[in-house]
Amino acid sequence: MPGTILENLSGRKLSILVGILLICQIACFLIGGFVAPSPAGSQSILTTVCYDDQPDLFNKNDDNRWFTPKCKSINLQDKHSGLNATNFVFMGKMPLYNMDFSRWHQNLVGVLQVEMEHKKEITTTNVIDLTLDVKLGYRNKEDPDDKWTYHSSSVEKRIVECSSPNKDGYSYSCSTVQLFELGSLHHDYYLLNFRIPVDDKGTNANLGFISDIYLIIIHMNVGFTKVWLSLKTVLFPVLIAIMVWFWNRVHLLQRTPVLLEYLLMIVGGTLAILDAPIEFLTLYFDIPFMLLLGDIRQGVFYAALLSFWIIFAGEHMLIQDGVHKNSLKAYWMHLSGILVGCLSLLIFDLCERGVHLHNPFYSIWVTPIGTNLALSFIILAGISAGIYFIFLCYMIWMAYRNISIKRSVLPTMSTARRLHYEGIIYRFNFLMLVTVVCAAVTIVSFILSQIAEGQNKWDENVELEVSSALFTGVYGMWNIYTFAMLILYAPSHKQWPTDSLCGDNGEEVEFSRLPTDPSPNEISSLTTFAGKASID
Amino acid sequence: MKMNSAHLLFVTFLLLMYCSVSFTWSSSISSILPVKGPILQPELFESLANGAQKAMRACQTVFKWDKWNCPESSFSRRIKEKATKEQAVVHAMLSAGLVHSVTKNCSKGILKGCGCNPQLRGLSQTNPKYITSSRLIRPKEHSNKKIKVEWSWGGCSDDVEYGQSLAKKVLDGLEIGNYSKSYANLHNNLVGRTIIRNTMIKKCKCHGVSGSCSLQTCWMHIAPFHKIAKVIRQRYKKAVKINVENRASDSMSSSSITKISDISKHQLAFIETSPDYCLADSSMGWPGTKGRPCSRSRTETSTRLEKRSCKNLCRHCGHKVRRYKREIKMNCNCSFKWCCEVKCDICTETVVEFFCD
Repeated sequence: MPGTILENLSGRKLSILVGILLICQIACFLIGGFVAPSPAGSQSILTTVCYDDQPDLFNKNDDNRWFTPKCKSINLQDKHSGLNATNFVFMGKMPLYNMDFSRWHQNLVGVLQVEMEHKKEITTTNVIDLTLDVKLGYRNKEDPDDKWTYHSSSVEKRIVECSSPNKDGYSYSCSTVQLFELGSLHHDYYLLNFRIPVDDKGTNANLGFISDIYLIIIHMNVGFTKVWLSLKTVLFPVLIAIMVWFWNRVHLLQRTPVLLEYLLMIVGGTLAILDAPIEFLTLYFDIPFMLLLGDIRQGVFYAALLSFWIIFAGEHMLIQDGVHKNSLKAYWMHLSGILVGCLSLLIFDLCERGVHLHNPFYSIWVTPIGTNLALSFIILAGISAGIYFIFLCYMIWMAYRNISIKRSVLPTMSTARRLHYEGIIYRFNFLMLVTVVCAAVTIVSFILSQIAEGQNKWDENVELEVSSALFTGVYGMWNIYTFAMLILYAPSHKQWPTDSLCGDNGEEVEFSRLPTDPSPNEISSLTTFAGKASID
Repeated sequence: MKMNSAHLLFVTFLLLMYCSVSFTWSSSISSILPVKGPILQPELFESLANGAQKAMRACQTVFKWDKWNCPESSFSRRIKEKATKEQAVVHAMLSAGLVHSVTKNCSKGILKGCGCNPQLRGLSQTNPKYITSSRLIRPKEHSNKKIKVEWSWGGCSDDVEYGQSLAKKVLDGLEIGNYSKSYANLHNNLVGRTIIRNTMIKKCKCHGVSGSCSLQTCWMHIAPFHKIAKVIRQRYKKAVKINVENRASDSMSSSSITKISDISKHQLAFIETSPDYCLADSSMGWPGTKGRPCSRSRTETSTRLEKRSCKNLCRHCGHKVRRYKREIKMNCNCSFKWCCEVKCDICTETVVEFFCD
């Protein structure tokens, strides 16, 4: 059996395959750009201030004590003598207008924007510790109009940074703060009630004159979720089919699979986990951990991909050693960087989104300890990423160096053998090229999506939805990348033609191995390169 | 429910009357209104009135130290009204105020009919730039269905358009009669309407994987009205004179007069040169600058205009600056406790005030 399909594929067949994959790739971009709306939408809700005549009852989780749009509203601009902060309850009903959430909206992020007015007699600091007493309720369409059900409640602190206008009656410009994040949007309507308690111990002591509080809600768009899930639904079976085909190929050989084949399966498997459209379950069940699960699925896939790259480079680098490592243990040092990075990100994610399962208002960033902890995890992940990158570069450089050394020996080899080694080098270069292109596209699209969101979209009649296109495009790209790897690096079934290698047509040349080749390992045949060179 | 334009005019008239005659808008006025249609919900009417009031207050704040200080009288509609630079400001302020107020109330969820309305974009494309009658009635049923479709696919957040279409309907509907004057007014209404959108502040939030910026959503936050008033004041300085009458052959066309097609929607337009605001004009209800207070405040927060106000308002107009020294009781050393508790000491301070005499 000769090497991988990539080496044995004729130029024409390869170009056809690459062409098909490219078309799929373009299709992914176009679906995102022209069919899907933008990934997420938002609504700015100006909270209504309600009058609470029995503030003591606010924290009793009584289902009937909710402040709804029908509450007795108060104008903050008026003078209110005899009232105190607990009499004021800020109310926001989500979503606005006569709309209702559908389960396709997936998740909900709530952000607060506090508007304060500068008054001569009121002095405030620029950094305000805002303490909120919040509770969240929900209602479904079939429920009676006033029946709101308790969802969660908490007393939360947020740090708001403001800059003073220094002019009476003018507004401060304050930063926005995240208030809550719901991993599942299972109900039709949500209702937020919060108040800003003030006491003598310094709670909310630096607060200025609040004129308005906006609640901005961000949800996934229905259309985008639909397109996204359709994409997953199409990609998932294709991937499974390719994986089954690949594994069958490997098992047709009279040998145990090599490390890289296992790794390809792992990459495929993690991608299959990511591709599996389990989000469909959210349409029927309330699954608050879906957001966290999504993060983990994505993290696991990228970890597998990063491991694959470093081991691929490693397997092609060990030329001089002559020692065939071919086991995961040999790479523990290289992989530990990925492991540490991923673990720290996982812990960070569990600290934020994990806790959200219990308390959607929680934020790790409000306490100094939490901030330090979160930052240290992120920095740790960053350092691991850096170490990984240095390792990867080093190994690729070593591989290239070895290849170029051996390349100089190539002309002295027999034609068949030369073609064979050129094929292996070609295999390595091919993966390098494709990977670099994919990584570059990912980085560029990330930057582009930042720019696309950064622009003002007013008065723009362009039908193309850039951020969605980049989202589906990049997602599709890594899928197609994995497909290509699985197909092209699968063992070839072609039988060796006995040394009748060189056709007249250069393009139609198919690389083949020498019958004398002692190594049964195709995928790491480059590692036997050194030995071959000495034979030659 | 369809609304006829005569009724709309009547309401607008009421609205403006109330703004100019009495500043305090009581909710009882809205209850007097006989009709509660889709357009004339009391909340809507009230938010229009609030907008007009807000516009007036902000105008008076930003023009405090100018010769023309945006008096109440300029907000009342008269047939004799001249299309001056100052009247351009009034139109823009009023129009911006309505949009601002309606947009805010849309965010509050108390107005029916706002939300995402993609079909309005189409409307403004097919219609001419200015619509002189109040033909632009929103196809209510149609839009409601469309909003639902939009929400169940792409989400909707853009509610400025409703305020814009409403301000357009209400204010542009008033411009009947003298073509050239109407033209300037319509243009300035447009300037006011678009200013809200242009001054909006972009805010973004990252909510991708693990809260990273792999997914970022931005929204436009409406600017506080004093910022909008400030922008209008800047545009007041750069207002252009237009020549609406088609007298191309005439010698009237000088370089200082801009043609209609050249003015952008960021420029205020006027036709007549402003009168001398030093002098009182009883027919316009303008009292002149005599008796106006001016300031010689030299604090870091006072603007250049404020520092020069005595020179500008009094001396340039031939008035003397009179200085008053008096003792006033002021709040000082205040401590504030949200929401409603301000504890202050009372201090006696000597202040120096200046007036044009």
